[in-house]
Order: sequence, then C-alpha cells, then structure tokens
Amino acid sequence: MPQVQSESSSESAVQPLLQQFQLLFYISKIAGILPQDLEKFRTKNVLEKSRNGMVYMLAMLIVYVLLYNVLIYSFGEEDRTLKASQSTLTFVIGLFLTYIGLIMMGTDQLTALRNQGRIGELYERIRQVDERLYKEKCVVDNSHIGGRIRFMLIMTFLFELSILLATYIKLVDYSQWMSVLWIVSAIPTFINTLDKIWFAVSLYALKERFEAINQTLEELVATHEKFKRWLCGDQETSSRALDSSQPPEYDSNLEYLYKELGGLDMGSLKGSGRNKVAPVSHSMNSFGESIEASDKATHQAPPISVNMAHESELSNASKVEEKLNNLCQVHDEICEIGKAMNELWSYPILSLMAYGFLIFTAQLYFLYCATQFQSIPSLFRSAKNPFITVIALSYTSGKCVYLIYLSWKTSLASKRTGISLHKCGVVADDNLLFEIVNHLSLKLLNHSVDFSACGFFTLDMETLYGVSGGITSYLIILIQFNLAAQQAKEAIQTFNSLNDTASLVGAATEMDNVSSTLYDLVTTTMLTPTG
Amino acid sequence: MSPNTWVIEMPTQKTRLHPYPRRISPYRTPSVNRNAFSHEARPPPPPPPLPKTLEHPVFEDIRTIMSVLKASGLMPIYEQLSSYKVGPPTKTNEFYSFFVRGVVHALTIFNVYSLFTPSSAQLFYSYRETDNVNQWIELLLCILTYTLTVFVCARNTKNVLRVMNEILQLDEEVRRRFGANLSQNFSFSVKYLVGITACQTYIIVLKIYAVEGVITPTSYVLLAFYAVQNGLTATYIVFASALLRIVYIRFHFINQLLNGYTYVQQQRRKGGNRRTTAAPSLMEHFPEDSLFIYRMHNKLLRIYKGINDCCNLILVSFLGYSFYTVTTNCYNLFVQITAKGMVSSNILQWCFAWLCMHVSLLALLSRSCGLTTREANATSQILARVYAKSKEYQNIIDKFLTKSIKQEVQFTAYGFFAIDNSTLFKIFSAVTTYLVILIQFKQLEDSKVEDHVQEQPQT
Amino acid sequence: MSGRLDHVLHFHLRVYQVLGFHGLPLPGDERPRRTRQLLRAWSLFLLLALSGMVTVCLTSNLDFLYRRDMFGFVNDALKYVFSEVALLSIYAETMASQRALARFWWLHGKLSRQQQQQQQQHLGCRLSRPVSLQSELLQHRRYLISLYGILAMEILINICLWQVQPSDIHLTLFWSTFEPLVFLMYLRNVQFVLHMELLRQQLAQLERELCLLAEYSRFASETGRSFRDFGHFLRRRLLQKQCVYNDVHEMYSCFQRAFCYSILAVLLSIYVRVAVDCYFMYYTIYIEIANLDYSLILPALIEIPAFIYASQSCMVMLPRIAHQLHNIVTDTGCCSFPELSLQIQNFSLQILHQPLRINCLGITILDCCLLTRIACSVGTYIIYTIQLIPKLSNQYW
Repeated sequence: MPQVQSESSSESAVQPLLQQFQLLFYISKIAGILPQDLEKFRTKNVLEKSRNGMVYMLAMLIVYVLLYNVLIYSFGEEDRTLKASQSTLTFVIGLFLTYIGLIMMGTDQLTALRNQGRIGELYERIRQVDERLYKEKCVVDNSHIGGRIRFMLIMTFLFELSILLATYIKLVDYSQWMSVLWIVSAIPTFINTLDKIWFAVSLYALKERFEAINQTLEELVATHEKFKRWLCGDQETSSRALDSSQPPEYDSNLEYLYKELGGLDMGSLKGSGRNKVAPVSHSMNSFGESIEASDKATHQAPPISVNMAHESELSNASKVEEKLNNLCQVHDEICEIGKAMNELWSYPILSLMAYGFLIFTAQLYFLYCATQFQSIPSLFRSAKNPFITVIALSYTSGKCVYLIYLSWKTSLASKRTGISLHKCGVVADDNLLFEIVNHLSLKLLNHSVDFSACGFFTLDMETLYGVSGGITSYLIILIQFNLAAQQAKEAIQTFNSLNDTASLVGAATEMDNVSSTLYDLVTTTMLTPTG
Repeated sequence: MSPNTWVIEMPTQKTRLHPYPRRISPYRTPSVNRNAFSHEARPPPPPPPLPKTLEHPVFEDIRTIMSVLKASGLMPIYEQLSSYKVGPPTKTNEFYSFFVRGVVHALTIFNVYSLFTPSSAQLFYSYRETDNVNQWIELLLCILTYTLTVFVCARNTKNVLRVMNEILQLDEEVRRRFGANLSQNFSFSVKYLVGITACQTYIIVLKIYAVEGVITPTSYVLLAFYAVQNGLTATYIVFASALLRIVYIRFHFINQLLNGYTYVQQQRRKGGNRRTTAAPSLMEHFPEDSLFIYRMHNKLLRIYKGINDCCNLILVSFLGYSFYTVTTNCYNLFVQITAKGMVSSNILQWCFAWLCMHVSLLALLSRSCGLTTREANATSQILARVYAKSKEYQNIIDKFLTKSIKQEVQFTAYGFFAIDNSTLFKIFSAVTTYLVILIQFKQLEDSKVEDHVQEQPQT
Repeated sequence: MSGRLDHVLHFHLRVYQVLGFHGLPLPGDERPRRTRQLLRAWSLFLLLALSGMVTVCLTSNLDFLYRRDMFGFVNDALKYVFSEVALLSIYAETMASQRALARFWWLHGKLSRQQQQQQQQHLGCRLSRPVSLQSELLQHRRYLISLYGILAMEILINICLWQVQPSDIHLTLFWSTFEPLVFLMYLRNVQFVLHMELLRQQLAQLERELCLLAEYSRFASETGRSFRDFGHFLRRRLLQKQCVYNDVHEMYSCFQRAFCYSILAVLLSIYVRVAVDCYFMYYTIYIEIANLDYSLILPALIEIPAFIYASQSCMVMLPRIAHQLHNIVTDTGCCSFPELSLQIQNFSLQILHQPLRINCLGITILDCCLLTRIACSVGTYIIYTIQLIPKLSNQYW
C-alpha cells in the first residue's frame, strides 16, 4: 500500500509518516490551517509550498476575523443597555480577553504560513530517520498513528459540538436569526485544536522513535541473556547458585503470578503493545518461565527473532560498536528534529498557554459571578451553567495539559536510552564494550530535548505546578475584590433607598463600574466593538 | 523605541556562514587540506584586509559607547599598548576619572539633600499624594542604582581591564591560527545610545512643561542630573550587553569550528566527495583543533565569569529599579486612562517613554544573556555529535564531555537568579500580578471616596 | 517476591490488604490468583461504599456540613471533595497498577534473597534464618515510628478533644464521617513511607558494600598487599553492584508508577485540609465560636513532613553512593587496574543516567524545598482569605 517515490528498494519498506495524516490534512486544508499543496500531498505524500493555498488560507483568516467581529458586535448589544459609561483602559484589557481566542487563531495560521516550507522538511527528516532505523533492523510502526489522529479528531468534534449545542440551546435566545452567528464562537478554538493535533501527533511520533531505539537496545540485551544461558547450558544449576538461591519453601505459584504481572509491565510501559519484551534483569536467576517469556518476546519482535541459533550481537564488540554508534546518531537526529519542531510551533504554543491560563481563570471567575446572580459578559455565557463550564474547562485544560504531558513523556523517553545502553554494557561484561558504552553514554548525556515556549518557560510538569498556583491566587484575589465591591454596592443601595431617587441613577452606574475589573473589561468590549 | 524595534546585528550573514574566512597556517602557507576541511563549496575567500584589520581590535566596534562611559568616569581611560594589549590609564587620565566620580558623588549628595528639603517640592506637585511618593521612591532608586554603578565601576577598574586584555589575547590567538577577524557590527549599541538620549531628553522636556510656574535652578540641576543618571545607567547596561555579545560571537565561532567535525557534516561531505576526488582525512586536524577549542572555551568561560563578576551588583540594582519603574508607570498609565475626562497627554507620553526605555533595555539584557548562555552550553552538545573512529580521538572527546557534565554555565544576578529569557517572563508576570492588585485597590479606594462625596452634601 | 517476607512487613501488608490498599496476595496465601481477584473486588467495594458515604454527606440536609455560614460550609465541602478525589485515586490505583507493584515486590524479594545469600556465604552457611523479631523492628524503625507515632497522636488528640469539646450534632456527624477518610489517607501516606523506606534500605545496603570495597582497595594500596587477581575481583564485585543498582532503580521506577497519582492526590488533600483548617481556626477565633476541632490538624501537619523526610532520606543516598564509588582506589602500590577505573566510570555514568528523584508525575520533586514552598503558600493564602473575613461577616451575618 505505500507508494513512496524512492529510488532504492530498502526505502520503500519505510512508510512515510505523513501517510497517516491524510484525514487531518484534508480537514485542516478545508478549514484553512495549512497552505500546502493539496495535489502534491495526495499523490506524493509531501507537504509543499503553494501559492493558491496561501491565498485561500489568508482569505479564510480574514473571513473568520470578520465573522468573529460581527459576532461580538451583535451579541454585545445585550450588554449595551447594561452599561452607561466606560473608561478606556478597561476597554483595552477587555479587548484583550475577548480577542485572545482570535489572537490565538491568528498566531496559528500566520505561523503555519511562515513555516509552510519547513514543515515539509521536518517530515522528510523523520522519514530519513525511519530509513536509518530500518537499516538497524528497528521498524517503527506508524499504523496506529492514523487511529490516534482519528480519535483526537472525534474528541475535538465531540467537545466543540457539545459546548456549542448546549450553550446554544440553553443559553442563547434562538428566536432571532442572528443567533446562528453563535456558531462562529467555536471557530477559533476548533482551528487551534486542529493545529495542535498536528503538533501533538508529530511529537508522539518522535516519542515512538525514541522508544523504538530503546526497544532495540533492550532486545540486544535480551538476546544476549539468552545467548549466555545457552552457553552455560547444563551448568545452569551452578550458575544459579552463584547468583541467587532458591528459598526452600519456595511458592512457585505465587512467584509465577508476580513474574507474570511484572513481566508484562515493561511492554505496557512502551505505550504500543506491539513488541513486549520480558525485562532483562530478572532472567538472571533463570527459571523455566523466564526463558519462555523472553522467547515469546523475541517471537513478537520480528527482526531479531530469526536467530534461534542463539547468537548475540553483543558478544562481538567491534560489530556492535557500529550499531550502537548509528543508534546514537539517530537519537541525536531525533533530538534535533524535536528541537526544530518546538521552534516551529513555539509561538502557537505560547499563545495557547496564555489563552488557557486566561480563559481558565476568567471562566471560573464568571462561574462564581453567575452563582452570585451577577451579570456576566455575553460572550462568556457558558459560565452560567456549571456543567457546560466543566466541559469547556476540561476541553481547554485537556489541550494544554496533554501537550505538556506529551513533551514531558518525550523527553523522558529520550533519557531512557542511556539506561538501556548501560544495560547493554553491564550484560555483555566486556572491556571493549564498556569503553564504547562509556563514550556513547557521555554523548547521550549531552543530547537534550527540552521543549519550551519561546524560552520563556519549559513545557514540563513543573510548569503545571506554577500555573495552577497562579490560577488559584488570581481567583482568590478576584473573588475577594468582587465581594468587596458587592458589599459597597449593597451599602449604597440601602443608602439610596432611604434618599431621593435623584441620586440613585448616578450611584448605581458608579458602583456598577466598580463591581469588578475583569467584568468591566469584557463588557466594555461588547459595547464598543469597533474601537 | 518599542521592545520589538531593536534589531541586533546578529553575527552578520557573512561571518555566520564563514566564521573563518581562511585558515592561515602559522607559516603563511595556506594548506590545501585545511581549506578542504573548513567548508564545502566555498566562494573564493574575500581578500583579507589584513593591514587594516590588524589595527582593528574588537573594542573599536563599540568605541562610541565606550567613549561615553570613559568620559563619565565609569570606564578607565586605558592606554592602547598594542593592538592586542591595553594598559592601565595614565596618571592624568586616572585623575580625570577620579575627579568625575567625585563630582558625581557631590551632586548626588546635593540632590539627596534637596529632595529632603522643600526646594524640590515644585517638581512633585502632582495629582495625587501616593504618586508623589512613588516618584520620590523612583528618584531615590535611580540615585541608588547610579551611585552603586559608579562605586562598582571604580572598584572594578582592574578587572575590566583584565577582561578586556583576555578578550584581546584570545582574538590574537584566533587570528594567528585561522586568520579570522572576529570583529562585529555593533551598531545596535549606537542605536540604543541615541534612543536613550532621545528618551531622556524627551522626558526632561515633558517634565519641564508639566511644572507650573518658574523653575528654580535647583530644580533644573535636579532634573538634569536625574536624566544623566538614568542615561548613564542605561548606557552601562547596553555596554554590558555589548560585552556579552562579544563573548557570544567567540563562543559561536568555536561552535562553528566544532560543527565541521560532526557526523552530519561528515556524511554530507562524504556524499559530496564521492564523485569528485578522494576526500582528505576528515579528522586529520581534529586533535590540535580540539585542544585549541577546549582552551578557547575555558578562556571564554573565564571571561564570561569575569564580566559577570564585574557587573552583577549593578545588574541586580538595575533590575530592581526597572521592575519598580515598569510597575509604577503601567499603573500610572492605567490611572490616567481610566481617570474620566482628564486624560493628560503629558503624563501619558512620559509613561510611554519610560516604559519603552526600560522594557527595551530589559529585553536587550535578557536576550544577550540568554543567547550567550545557550551558545556556551551548546559546545558540549555539538561535541557530542562528533563521532571518531580511533580511541585517542574518543578519549579527547570524552575528556571534554566529562568536564562539562555538571558545568551549567549561567549568567547570574549576584547569585540571586539566572538572567535569561525566563527572567523577562518572570518580571512581566510579577508586574501583572502587582498591577491587578493595585488596580483593584484603587477602584475600591475610588468607591470609598465617592461614598464620602455623596454623603457629605446630603447630610 | 520471594517465598517469604519478614514478620513486620508481612503483618503490615496484611493490614493494607484489609484496607484495600495492597491488591496482591502475600506469600503463604493459597490460590494467589483467586486472592488477587478477591482483593480487587474488595477494593472496589470499599471505594463504592466510601464514595456513597461522601455523596450522602455532601447532598443530605443533615448537619454534615457546617450550615451556619457560607464559608464554614464551603470549607467542609472542600475537605470532603478533596478526600473523595484522594480516595478515588487510591483505590483506582490499587486496582489498576498492580503490575508495577508486583514488580516492586518481586525485585525486593530478589534483592533481599541475594543479600541473605551473601551473608550466608560470609558466615559460612550457618543457620539460614536467624532473623529475630527485634532486628526486624530495628530494621524498620523509621517506618514504625512514623506509623505508630502519628497514630497515637491522632487518637490522643481525638480523646482529649471529646473530653473538652461540648457535643454538637454537626460535630458528631462531621467527624464520624470525615475521620475514617482521614485515617485512610493517613495510612496510605504511611504506605508510601514503607515503600520508600524499603528503597532506602536497599540503597543503604549498596552504599555499605561499596564502602567495604573502597576500604579493601585502600588497604591494598596502602599496604601493597593483595591477592592475585585482586583487580579482577574488585571489578566483578563492582559489576555485581551495578546490576543491583539497576534493580534498585527499577524498584524506584516501579514505585513511581505504582503510586504517582495517589501520592499527588493524598498530598494535595492533606495540603488542602491544612490550608483550609488553618484558615478556619482563625475564623472561629475571630467570630468567637467555641470550637476546638481545628486541633485535629496537628497530626495532619506532621504527615507531609513524614513523607518528605522519607523521600528526602531516600534521595540523599545517591550522592553518598557516588562518593563511595569514587573512593575506590584504582591504582594500588603494586599494580594499577585500568579495567577497574573503566568500570567505575561506567558505574558513575550509569548513576548519572538513572537519577533517583521522587517526584509525583514530574510535577515537583518531593524534598525539603517543597516543605518551605508549602508553608509559604499556606501563609499567602491565609493572608488572602483573612482579608475576606470582615467582608463576609458583613454579608452573611
């Protein structure tokens, strides 16, 4: 099924990664996220620059921006009666909060436009890495990436539709035909999510490649174990006595359970259930089951399983050096690809994180306001219903957290290579190999994949700690001031009820103005959308 | 000047592509092998303007900014002994610097005195009580920062000269070996200088227009000195950034040099040479080059640390000062815009000018620190990409990698925190937090005031 | 897991099984598979029962939550919600991540068997199991102290409180439902401590052995006396230690995988409880309610430090191991062993690649710095919320 344009036969064995991206590409092409050429992609599975695509994309961007502005204008009318006077700065900041979605979308699209040539190169580099891995008898299976993309797309549609429909049915007055415009409010997040799916899936593919390298190394170790056992042959009993002794009241049944549970675990850790390898270290004290387990493992891993003659590459240091060297180079190349990818998407990620932080805080705050029966800006009306809020929050935070989690996992996977390499060294127990391992492990220590948003902060789980702390403090501050303002308002109202009606109007507007900055900020925007 | 307009002349296209235009062996006979090594398809090397560049040490590139600093006594007026060595200043020059610093301190004392006496009150006529206090604190902070700068500079005269000498020596070595001239286009420093001057003058003019009534000479002196202090502190920051940039270029140079040996380059060359001629051994010059690179790297690290030692106190106080200034100015801006009906364009412009200056300086500083740090740390990463066949070469590589395992290079502000891009991020998030709190308080305060205003006429 | 565990471990694991925290059969159990199924079902049952209780508490009209003002109400509800989250993660993890746990205990059994065997070799194959209960107690003293110390304190404070505190329907209802949750979380916390303590023991053992090796080599280099193949012997031992370290590191990663979510949830819920109760304490003093139940946070105050102390003492072993490793003298007076230094280099690189950092899900490293950060944030939040009090009392009173 792969129809790769390649000269040599060995390359055709490698499926290009982009083949799995077809569905995503068509959807994002229609939505106007990618400017690349449709025809080229369909025939050759490559991303190439295209002028028509660029024009189409720009047109889409302009259309979206116009529609969004119309939306803000038409829904802002509801707030217009609410507010009498507004100051200018609240307007500016409110503009920011309302338009952050639009800014995010614009960043995504403009960055895609800027990167249109380089993304293709990126996938070409990944393909080359795949070829090199294939030469090292390490096949990377791309087939389930398509499924992953489909799953993510379905999740996106589900979330977007549920938020949109629930809000539309429950909270939008759909007697007017203008209310159909509410659909536009979902566009920025949808486009942003599509763009992030590209990033996330490519990152996932990189992680798979790291894991494939680790896998290859682990397999080397496993075969060598087997080889050693085979060498020992019937002296097994004596070697076992050296390593460990069987306790006299050994409960084989329980042992088996533990081993079975523990043994499967390494495979499940790998994410892909494709090749499971029995962990190495516990086959040191060799029982019958563990041999069975590792046999099974090698059967599942096609490239190496052929050698039933019990040969191990690790016993030949000079031969294995080449292989280890190549693996290290590929590792470095993947690290470099990771860096390049991070650079391509650095601005979109930054804007996504800013968006996530702001929207999360604002949504929670407006939820609070809604429970206190205060009016909230019409664009955030989904906060009136706690369930919709929960869905929206989990959608937004899911996006951010998944990206962070994935990049953390990727860098963990890249760091595991060193561990596997050392296992090779320890199990082979050969001075020449130790030298090689030392040398390469020093190199591996210097390969780094750290994902960061423009260097401002790194994308790892520690950032989550900081962000959640930030959200909590801002919420407390905002709620506190809201309480204070409410209190002042009540005081004024009781005061006014005692007095003439003349002062009432003025006081109410004044106090309304004070009620809360954030609220002000947003509603202002509704008022004067054109600026 | 907005934060985005400053353009740093990155190592220009030419130097980036060909950091070493030509390798000249110590015997002035360019060897073919070495030429073949350094880069593939290379354009004919530009005619080396040797006689001119020999007389063109690196500090010529930033002479404008240095002359300003020299004139204000912040830099020693050193003697140029040869093109690769500077000597301590002569007696008269030293006395001049000493004299200038004395004048500065005297003026500072005078200013502090006049700040505490009512003579300066007309400068703080402003619209609110708290704002006056703010400005006052700002002034004091500015004075503090500048005084600290002068003190630290006076104390570090020798260190600065030593660092300069080390840089010059390094350049000499590079030239002897590779014939590369690492001079750079530092026009950003001049641009900044102009920008700072413009900003300060603008601010002074605004202030003078804002003051009502006749301005006393004391106020003039106060204002002028304030502007000069600000300008000079800013200039010093630009100077520090320029120094960092100089170090960055050198790090970049050795990284480029090392890059030629990585497996990526080797593969590319292998592909290229397959059809042309037999490739000369790629790693032929690796041992000598790598030793040279290690030595350079060590020296550069020492220089980097030297620069850090020279200016970290100044940096701490400057960062504190500019954090304060940015916060108060943002707040003022907000107050001005929200104040209904009486938006004063004067104060708006004033705030904008301050914000531009400080934000761009912060961006410049953190960016050059971040760049240099990254480049310094990149050396070991690039070296990790060198794959050598023979054991000796591997040992050479291992030595360096082992050395650099735990050696995180960082530019710190007196050990409090590392300065790089994340610092900028932290500063701005702190500013936002304070702004939110301040603004909320102000709104509460306003509502209280209006309460009183409403109650009083009725009762 | 080996055929046997020592008594202390066996007893406590049994306790955790009863609580539904340990979903694996112990050695000596008959029909382990069936036991495992039963334990899983038991965990599920406990989870459902407790969640049902929490739901009832949160929704019923009875005085489970403080009803008299809004903030007391929110505080109590917060406590319940976070305990529920912790419960959910604890039991879900018990049911789901049995593999990592099994591997942990398997490795532990393997390592301790190796140790015993070495001891037997040293002692010349005397009696195989002279392990007395006393030495076991001594071995696990840290864990036992942190378990029974806090337990005793909690019970003591409870008793004192009920003597002093005037009875009240709300308090009775609240504490009779909330206290079990507190105990569960506390015992889970101590379970983490137990696992980390086992890790620490392995590391300490490794350090001792490396120390011995270093002493041998120093002796050999000082006196110049050594037997033939001494270098080779050292190298073999070092290689063995490398394998042991590999296993210990795997134990550590199994521990991380088996417990990461519940560590996060338990610490978070304890933290929320401390923060909320500190605030509530101030609040009750402010509005002058005679309510002493805030004194119940005292045990909770010790729980986080107990955990962090265990993890910290586990993590500080690593530099010590590296130090001992580099204490081994590679060239003795008579001869030098290039292979040995190669081996040492390899081991140290391995340690660099396999650092031991106990972090829940990579969010933050659990060492003493975290303690200061927690204290700081509790302080900050209290300051924020204390400012709310006057406003609230105006509004709701």
